[in-house]
Amino acid sequence: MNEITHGADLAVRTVTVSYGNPPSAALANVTLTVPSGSVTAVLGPSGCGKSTLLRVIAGLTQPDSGLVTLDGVDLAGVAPHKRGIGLMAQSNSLFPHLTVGGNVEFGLRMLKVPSRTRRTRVAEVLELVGLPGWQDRLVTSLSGGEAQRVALARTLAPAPKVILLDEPLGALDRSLRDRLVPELAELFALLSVTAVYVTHDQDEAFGIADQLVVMNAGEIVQSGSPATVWAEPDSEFVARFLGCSNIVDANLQVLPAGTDRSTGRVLARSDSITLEPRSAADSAVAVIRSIAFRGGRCTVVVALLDGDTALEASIPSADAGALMVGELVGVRVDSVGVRAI
Amino acid sequence: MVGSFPLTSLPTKSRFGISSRLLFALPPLIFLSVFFIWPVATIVVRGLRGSNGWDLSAFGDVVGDPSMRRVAWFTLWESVASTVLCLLVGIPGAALFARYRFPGKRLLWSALLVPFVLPTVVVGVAMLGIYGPGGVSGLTLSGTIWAILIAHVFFNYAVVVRTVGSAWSTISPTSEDAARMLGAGSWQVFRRVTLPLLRSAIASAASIVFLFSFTSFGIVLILGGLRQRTIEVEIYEQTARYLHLDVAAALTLIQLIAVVVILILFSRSQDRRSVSFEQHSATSTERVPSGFPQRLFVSVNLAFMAALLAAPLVVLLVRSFSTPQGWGLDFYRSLGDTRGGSTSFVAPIDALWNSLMFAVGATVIAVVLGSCASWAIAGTDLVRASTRWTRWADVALMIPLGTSAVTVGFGFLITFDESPMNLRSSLWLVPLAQAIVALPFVVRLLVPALRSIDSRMREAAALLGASPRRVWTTVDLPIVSRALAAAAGFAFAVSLGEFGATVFLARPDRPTLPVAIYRALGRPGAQNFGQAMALSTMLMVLTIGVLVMVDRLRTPGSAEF
Repeated sequence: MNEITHGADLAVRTVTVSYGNPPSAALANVTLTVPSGSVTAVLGPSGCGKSTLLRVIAGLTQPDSGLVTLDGVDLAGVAPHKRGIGLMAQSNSLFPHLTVGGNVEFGLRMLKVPSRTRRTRVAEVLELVGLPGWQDRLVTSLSGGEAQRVALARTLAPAPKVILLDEPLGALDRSLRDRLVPELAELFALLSVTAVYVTHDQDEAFGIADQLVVMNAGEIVQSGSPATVWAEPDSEFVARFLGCSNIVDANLQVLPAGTDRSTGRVLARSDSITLEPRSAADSAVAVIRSIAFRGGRCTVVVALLDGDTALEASIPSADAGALMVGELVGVRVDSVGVRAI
Repeated sequence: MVGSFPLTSLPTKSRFGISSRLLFALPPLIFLSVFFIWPVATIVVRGLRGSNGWDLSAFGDVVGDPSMRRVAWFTLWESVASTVLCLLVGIPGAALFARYRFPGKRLLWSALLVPFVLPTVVVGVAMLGIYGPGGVSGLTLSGTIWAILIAHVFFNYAVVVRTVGSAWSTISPTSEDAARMLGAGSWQVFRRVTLPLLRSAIASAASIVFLFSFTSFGIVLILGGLRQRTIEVEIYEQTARYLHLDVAAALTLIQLIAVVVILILFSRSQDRRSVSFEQHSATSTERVPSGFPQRLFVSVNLAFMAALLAAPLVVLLVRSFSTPQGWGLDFYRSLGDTRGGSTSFVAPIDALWNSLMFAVGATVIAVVLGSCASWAIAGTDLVRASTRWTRWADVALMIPLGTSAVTVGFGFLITFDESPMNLRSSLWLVPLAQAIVALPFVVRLLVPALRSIDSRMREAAALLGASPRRVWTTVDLPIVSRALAAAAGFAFAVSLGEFGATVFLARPDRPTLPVAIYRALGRPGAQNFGQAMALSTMLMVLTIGVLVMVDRLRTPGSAEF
């Protein structure tokens, strides 16, 4: 397989975008570096500005201030179609009046690539996305997953230096997404492409990213490797967004790593909480509110008796068989899973 | 009228099977047979039959006559030129509505329909006021092709803007963004993505404009002078001036064939709509213009629309009040005169009462029959497409829409002047002809309204405890009555302004407003011209008033035209 794309260093520096009247910031002072050949996932709730960030990089939206550079070259004033950046959108943006092949070769036509080379390249990228020989199909006959594969092939065909993906799997159902994420990750690694992948789904982001950027209300609230961000969320927002619901005020007897306060807000991972018979001496007592079966593990919500605090515990399903709603249990929290915020 | 509709509330197919719909379809079908098919058949027979049996000589004479061939050729290229011109100015207007947000947008979208529904005679007179002899523009274009082309653009601009504009606003901008990110410049995006997606909308707008220009009568009669004649005008001249009914019949036949061909091409262009648009809310595609080129584009288009809408209206008002002695009501006052400067033996103001009376009659006929027809057609979705006759009825009712009013008028003239149906002196002749012209509009407004009543809405109402009577009063009635009122208003406006058929049929002592205007134009002198202006202003105000009411009543989802 010859190299289809070649990466470039992408940098976004102090970009601000405001919309509306009175202006409200869609992006506030956003700075981001995406090293050549790496994949950065931008994660955040809808409306956090992550799509605006992509549009600024693509040149479809002009920033009020700040700049976007590619290999150190400022892109201000470079029209979107001359940036050498590919964009794959969430909704089906395939051209309905063209065939699969016509869609994929569109960017090559714009580059005035001769037709023989075009045909070879189209066949090559279609094979890459797992649709070999689909050139003559009508795009209106494709399923959602197939359409997104074609859209990816179309984005890859002109060998852009950077690929932007705006919730590329957002319109697909869960199981299809779970299948496609590792495929995409493998493809990106194979092509060593520079990619910015926008999503609101943490599993997608974890599955694909070298670098994870969490956004909220137009700002980047945390960035780092997926493992670091998951293990050491900087804020309650990041922790909750990554699926941790046990965030409580606590008096800490054992200080977790990285903090020197004995009172404050802490988060406790649900798998660090164990439930045991209430006879155990040093555990807090709680009443079981609900038990939800989730395959290998069960999610048990308990309410501590000394207050209103509810905790979510994830325990092996085998251990949950004996529990009943309304029963009193002892609760123990493993300090390894506790982190002060 | 609404009282004939309680049946729509009964959702079951068993009680309202084919037989009841046939019952509803019968009156309009009989009406169309007598007042449309029969006259058309008479024209065919008249055109193809000489004194000794079937004989193509009259037909051949017409085809072989160089002056007739000139007329046909002129009709053809005038229509092509009008269509191209309308597309050239209309497509940017469509882009304006599809892609930009600006104050007053919705009002302007509705206002654009005003030229389209103004009576042709009123538009003709307004254009004379602008670029006729002594017009406010200082140019004298009347008698040239430009006079006709400008008037056709005025009429059909809204067809292009609204048809193409609505299709355009359903094209997701993500397709265009995708093309840009793949390296296409603005022009490339338009040519390779937007334009192909708009093809079927442009094709249908173009066929409508072509059809209207091909069958243009009032405009060409008033603005074309002696040299510029369409087939329609020639039919009228041969009938009214030279009394060559055989020649007129042969010409009508040629016209009919041409119209049928255009309609077939039109329905083909509709069928080819294979591209499915991704539906999304139109507001997401709109943006506030930013930057000089965008602001320039928006301003130029808005200025064009403002001029297009305002100029004729203002000119009519101004000229109807500006007498040789300065501002005054002289022209309006003189409308009541039967002597004085007017040589006709009817006071022009009587035409107003004739018009109102005829239009009321035509509206009643069109709405009663149109309601029956609509129920018969809309009922088909119970057993959709399985009954061929309902589809056939659908087509049959649409044919008069494509057929020219002149064909209807001429057909009436030569059909109902002898037994078994001698209506020559009957006051019903004009309303009947106007009803034929208005009927398709009624059907086009009512059918979507009836179809919009989802049977699930009735079921939901019934499951919530509504009796069949309550279902009808709470679900069907509110939807249908609005559409019915709108259809009645539209039929009334169409009948008021109807000229092509009425000019053949109106008795000399019973002119309608458009006919009176045309007669006043035919007489020399500033007084007569001023009277034409005053009558046109009255007709314009009346039409716009009716249409403002109609616009408030239109059901969402009803046909654009």
